[in-house]
Amino acid sequence: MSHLSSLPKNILLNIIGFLPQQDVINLARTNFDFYEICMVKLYRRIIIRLEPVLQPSSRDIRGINYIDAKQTVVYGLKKVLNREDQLKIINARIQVLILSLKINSGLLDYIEELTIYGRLDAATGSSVAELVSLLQGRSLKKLLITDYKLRRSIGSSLKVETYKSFESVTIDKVSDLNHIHELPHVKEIVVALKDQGNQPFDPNQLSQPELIASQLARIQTLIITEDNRFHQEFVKLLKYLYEKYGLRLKLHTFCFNYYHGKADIPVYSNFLTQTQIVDWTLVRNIEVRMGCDNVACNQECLGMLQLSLPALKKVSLVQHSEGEIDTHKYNEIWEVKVFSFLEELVDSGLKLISIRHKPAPDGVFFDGMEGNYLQRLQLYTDMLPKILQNSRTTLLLPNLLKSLACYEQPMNTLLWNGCKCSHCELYLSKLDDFLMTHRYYRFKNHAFKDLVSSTLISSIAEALTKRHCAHDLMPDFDMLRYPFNDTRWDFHSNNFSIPFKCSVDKNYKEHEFDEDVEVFYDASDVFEACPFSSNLFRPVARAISHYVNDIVRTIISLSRGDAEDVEIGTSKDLNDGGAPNSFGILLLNGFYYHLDREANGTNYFSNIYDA
Amino acid sequence: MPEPKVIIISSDDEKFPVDVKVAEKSILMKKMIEDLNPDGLEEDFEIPTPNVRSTVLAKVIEWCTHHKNTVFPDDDDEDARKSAPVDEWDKNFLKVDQEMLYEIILAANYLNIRPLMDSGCKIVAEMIRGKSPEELRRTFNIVNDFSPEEEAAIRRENEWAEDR
Repeated sequence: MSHLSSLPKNILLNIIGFLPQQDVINLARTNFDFYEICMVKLYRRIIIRLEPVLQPSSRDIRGINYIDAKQTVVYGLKKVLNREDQLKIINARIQVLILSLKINSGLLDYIEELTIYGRLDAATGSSVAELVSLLQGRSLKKLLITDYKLRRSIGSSLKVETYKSFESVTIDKVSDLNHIHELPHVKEIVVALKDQGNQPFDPNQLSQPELIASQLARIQTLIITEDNRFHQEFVKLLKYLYEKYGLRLKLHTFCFNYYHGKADIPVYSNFLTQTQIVDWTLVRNIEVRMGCDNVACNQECLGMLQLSLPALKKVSLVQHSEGEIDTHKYNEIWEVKVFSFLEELVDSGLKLISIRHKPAPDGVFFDGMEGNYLQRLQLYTDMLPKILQNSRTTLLLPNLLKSLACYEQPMNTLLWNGCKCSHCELYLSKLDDFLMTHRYYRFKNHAFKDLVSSTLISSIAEALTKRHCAHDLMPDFDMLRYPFNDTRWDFHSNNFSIPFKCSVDKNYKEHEFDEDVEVFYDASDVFEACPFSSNLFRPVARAISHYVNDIVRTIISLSRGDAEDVEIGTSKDLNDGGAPNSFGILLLNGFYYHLDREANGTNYFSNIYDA
Repeated sequence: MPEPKVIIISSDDEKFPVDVKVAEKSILMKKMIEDLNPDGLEEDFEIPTPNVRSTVLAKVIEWCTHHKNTVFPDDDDEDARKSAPVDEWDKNFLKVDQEMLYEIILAANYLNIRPLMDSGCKIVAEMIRGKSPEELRRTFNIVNDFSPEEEAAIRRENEWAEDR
């Protein structure tokens, strides 16, 4: 009789590959054979970060997802703590890990990938440095440290031997490339160039340019920072090696900017797309940060981006601009350009599409009321499914909700005329209370303003966006490589002003009483008494997800609800989920969905984390 | 003339004639067909599978037939394979007893049908999820060969990754 234990090792490893860390640990404790196999998985990919792993909703009965199995996450505690306490526990955990690796040094060879995501404090940083130094000369293939300061302090303490096993390196100055020939396994270069400062590229920074050109020609993955200044310096370097030494890049993964600045012609982006430097026929994954800040051009240049990409599987498009985008019109033009670019690519058998916007931080647009919300939504609910047909593509829209939040009218509908379920009745009315008792400081006017629905939903969306690990040096199409973050908004901090200010009375009452007298408030005044805190975040997110569920229903034509009728599953059956299976996975601003078909042929969706 | 078929023969000598498209879901069979018939199939082509029983082979062929037009993520795209939830149809298809499930996984492994093997492994992983070590031993007949001290040591060793 076949037992689990009798399966061959490669199958067991595959099974364990679908388990989150706690289950791997539990299985390791059952017997010695399982222990050995489980350790391979537990230590293979480790990410150190502040946020715990987001737990799926217990109300979702269908969807098991395997995102939480992709990495072993070193975090603080599941319970929400302040940053300092969280960091102390992370530090303690790293110390336990270091101790285990010292006692059982065989484990060192299992660690292939180590990611340090976000900013740590000095103590935790030095523990990470100790951990990295232990891995010297072992099997580590990729070390990604997103925080520049930590990267620099750890990088400067490392000897070249540490990097010998590396398949991926991050370079912070052009001269780092001088060592690249000493690293025989490198396939991936992440170009951050943070140490380059204001120093422009100069060929003299390269000791043996011909050798470097031949090394670069072997690279499979090139990720260039989104920062225009550094991006441009690196493109200058590529241009130099191309013109002088005939460099040709044979990349299968490439992340770059296609940007037109205020004054210039898009010369450096054009260099990448219009010369022979990149062999586009080989490229399987691209990320293009597209944008145009040139008023005269008015984003016309984006229409000129045409690439023939026969092997393309994954594409992420990022809205890129140096300034703050504050009109709907700009966004609408950008999106149309992006969709026509996408339409050209679909034939190649795309498996993943990601579109990231650059929404206004506070959700307030000048042409807010004019915005054509429905038309934009239709691009996603109607046009995209049509061009993708039955491909079951993965669609990632990391901040679409934040972008849609800028339309005030639909956000008012969401809050005051939205979902009528008992959960939303309770929590949407709490949000109503919140709006009435909070103000934000608008620097442009030097005054406290009443919160509008757009600002509130946009702040919630911002917090939800942080559920997925995203960084300049991590391509968006890789977003599902990392378990989701359990981030919770405290309902006051925001990234565009000082924290929201609470008032005891509802805003409109104050207006009534203080008509003649101007009243000044201190931002921290009544902060502690406010009933809104991070504890409320998950139920509020669930209420907002009911609005997003409606968008998903439109995408899969389930707009008549879950009722069934005689035309079920036939092509005429437009409203019972007979629409094509365009998407398999949909990530919409922190809300994660599986889309599939019932045995009876109708479409269904499951909302994994917020059901 | 009818299209030539691929005839898959189980360990207990049962013959299963299938379309080339169905057989090609197995990378192993696809390669055999291509290697031995470089100009395409002109007549029926027999492939023996000496370690797959007929009941298991019938299941595997049922799966291949259902998915003959499905486009799966590339086998080498580990990330996409891991993100994909188990197809609803597969979930129902794999509602079988543990032993049958393992045999299907073993057959998929041997015949190199990655998406079927992944679906099977994900179902097994679901059975493992959320169970304590003791519950796991009971569910999967795992014999504990640790001393209490060893078990405690393993627990300490991996404490850094415990969910709490």
